Amino acid sequence: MDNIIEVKQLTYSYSDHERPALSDISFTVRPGEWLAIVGHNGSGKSTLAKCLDGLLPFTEGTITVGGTELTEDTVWTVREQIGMIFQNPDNQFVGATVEDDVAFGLENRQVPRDKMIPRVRAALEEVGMGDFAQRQPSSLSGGQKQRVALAGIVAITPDILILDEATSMLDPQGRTAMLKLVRQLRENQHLTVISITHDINEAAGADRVLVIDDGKLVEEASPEEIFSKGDQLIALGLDIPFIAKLKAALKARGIVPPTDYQTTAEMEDWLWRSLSNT
Amino acid sequence: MSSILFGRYLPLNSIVHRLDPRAKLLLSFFYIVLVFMANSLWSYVILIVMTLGAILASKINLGFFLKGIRPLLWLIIFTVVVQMLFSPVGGHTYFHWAFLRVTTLGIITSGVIAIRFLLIIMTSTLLTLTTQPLDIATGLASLMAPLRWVKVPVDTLAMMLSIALRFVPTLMDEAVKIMNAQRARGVDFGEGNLFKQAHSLIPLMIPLFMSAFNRAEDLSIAMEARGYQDSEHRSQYRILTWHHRDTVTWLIFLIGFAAILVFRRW
Amino acid sequence: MAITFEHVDFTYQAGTPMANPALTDISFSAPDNCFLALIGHTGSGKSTLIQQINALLKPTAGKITIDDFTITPKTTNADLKPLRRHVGMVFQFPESQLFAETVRQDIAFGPQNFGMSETDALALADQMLETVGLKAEYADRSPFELSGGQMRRVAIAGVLAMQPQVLILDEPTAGLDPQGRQEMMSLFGRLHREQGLSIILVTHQMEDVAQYAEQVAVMRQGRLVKYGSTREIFSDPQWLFENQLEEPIAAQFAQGLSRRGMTWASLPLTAEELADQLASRWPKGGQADV
Repeated sequence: MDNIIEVKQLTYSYSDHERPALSDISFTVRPGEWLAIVGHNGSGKSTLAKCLDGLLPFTEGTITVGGTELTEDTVWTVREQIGMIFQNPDNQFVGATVEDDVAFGLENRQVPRDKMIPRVRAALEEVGMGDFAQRQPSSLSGGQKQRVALAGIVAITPDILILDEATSMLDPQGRTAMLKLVRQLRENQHLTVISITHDINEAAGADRVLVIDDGKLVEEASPEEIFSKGDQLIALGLDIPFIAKLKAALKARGIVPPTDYQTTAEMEDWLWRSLSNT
Repeated sequence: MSSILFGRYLPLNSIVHRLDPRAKLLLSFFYIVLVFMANSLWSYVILIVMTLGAILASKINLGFFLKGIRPLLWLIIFTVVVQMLFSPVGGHTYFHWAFLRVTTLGIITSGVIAIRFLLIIMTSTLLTLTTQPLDIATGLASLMAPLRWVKVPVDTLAMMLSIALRFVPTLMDEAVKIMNAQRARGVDFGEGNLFKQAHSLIPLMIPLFMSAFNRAEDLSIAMEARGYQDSEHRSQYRILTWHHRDTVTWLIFLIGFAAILVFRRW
Repeated sequence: MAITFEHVDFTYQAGTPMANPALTDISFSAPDNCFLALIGHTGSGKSTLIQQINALLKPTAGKITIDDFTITPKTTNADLKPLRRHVGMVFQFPESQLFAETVRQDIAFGPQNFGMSETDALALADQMLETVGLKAEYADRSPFELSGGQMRRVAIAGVLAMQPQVLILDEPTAGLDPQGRQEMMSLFGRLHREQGLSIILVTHQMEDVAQYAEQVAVMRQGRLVKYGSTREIFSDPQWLFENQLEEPIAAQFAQGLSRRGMTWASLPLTAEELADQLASRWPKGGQADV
């Protein structure tokens, strides 16, 4: 099947900066794929996400979404296919109540009211917020607000979901629950997911990882390949996985662990074998 | 300050709460017009009976209600005193000093003003206590709809009002947070002379404005990403339905209004 | 500064129909020069508790002692200002408190409120800028031109400039990238070690608790349910699980090895501790075949 997103030589500069925020970025996304985009704060990864949705007017390069090239004339056609969740749960909650917020995207698409009501209800059930329809945002936690944002996307049934650091302001429980929900939605709604993140667990669940540094695409690999970089990861905007920290600590004590990537279970296995092998 | 009830919403399940906000808004409007038209003893008696009846029907404890408007009493007393001293001269003069005098006419006029003031405060407090801000906004937008014909951007205004209401609690929380942060850095809010107090507001207002601007920018991006182009070409999820109870309430009030017009001195 | 709570209760909007108890019967004592981590779920009362320590909120019952200062429900605001100088408070997303024209002026704001002369305060500001790891050239810039991470450092410098003896940190690394988080935490570790600052850290990051904290207080529904040394708190995996608190990854990993029959002198909480214990029992010859 054709790529759902194709980005060719994309360059974007903010008017008040000399250096481009993105320079010469090219990549593709396959339908149904989960792509993680990582990079430290200020690397340009959020700018990239906004360009994909036509929220920033790039001047050089092309973006094609679902076969439609993104231009001024096609921007609303492109946005039809993309649902986007941003970092701050409060600043994307438009409606005065949960159900009003879920309906916002439908209202914009001029869906008749009798069709909206079941879609809003179904979307809230899907994200486990069915009992909260009448609630006001000030009575919800950050994690609950992000679930409502997801319901707003479920209601408009896009093909692509972009998470722009959507879990970074949540507590660990909220984060885990949100990731679980995204995985479930991806299954049920056949979504292509692009997640922009610092969270190593979020990146680990991806099919492929892109690394952005200083506005350039510096790496494109599987999560395993990326994680095998060990302590260099921190410069790429990711945490160092525990196994890599442990290997470094062992090395400092004169123990030489295997250099290739290992899962927790593999590392545990190796340690156990080494220790019982007296 | 926190004991003032005006502007708050009290979630109860009463007929007054369930009324269509348009019915309540229009009734409040005509009620206020009638308050200014009333001029006889009987017309005021009818107004007071209508107000008390509405409060009773709202299931709000009358004592709680009166306590809640007590802080506003000072405003009324102030107005009454000013009115009494400066009002037109007539009847017996009780007190006279320079250009200030208290006369029979003055006392009657200021008494009437106090009653009008009180009735209006009670009704508008009842309106906000029984109607969620969002419903007031929706009701207003719906009542303003005919203004579309004279090119008033009603939908945009309604959207602005709804977003403003939505962000009131968020910005209030933010203000408390920033105030605490500055108090922790040694700022004394509400202490010292007026100049000092105004000065201490700078470390609160600047961060609050910055935050509001940042939020507005985020929000506009999020709205665009969710397909918002303009306010006109949208369907409506939240609509208001006019029920029989609204018509019945209107009929009851119409009888009251008619009675006031009959009993007023023409 | 030693901090003692004795049967502290706190209720929001006490005496109104909206009254909302947030803290119930909190008693504990943290020694001088402590590094105390305060953990628990969102809404468990952590933020309310720390605001008692510099009296932004006063207890509705009970007593708090911080060195010579005593806070009771009757304490007046005038008595509290000296306390606030000694107890520095870094709120969540503290960059939102910046307001002055330049970074230097913003950092100097706190000390001047507590009576320091402008000249001294501005000089101190430059020093604090260095402490938080920002170049001197930032001093004359507007704080609003900086990146999010730099703004956070400026805000922290503004609190440190009051030269407090206790530093309260409410999720100071939220929203930073991993490198920023690491740098921020090592700054606090350094302030604690080198300047003897008492630190109270509210956090969800168990790795930071394991690596930096000496004492841990666990909050649940407005109550202090456990207080002890970091090792004591993490030594009971069953209890942590029941309270939906995560264990440090090193401890989880070590327990995987325990299930195979490995025993530990004490449960390792960090990769370093784990490596230490593994190295001590590593077979002679250094390397096992793979």
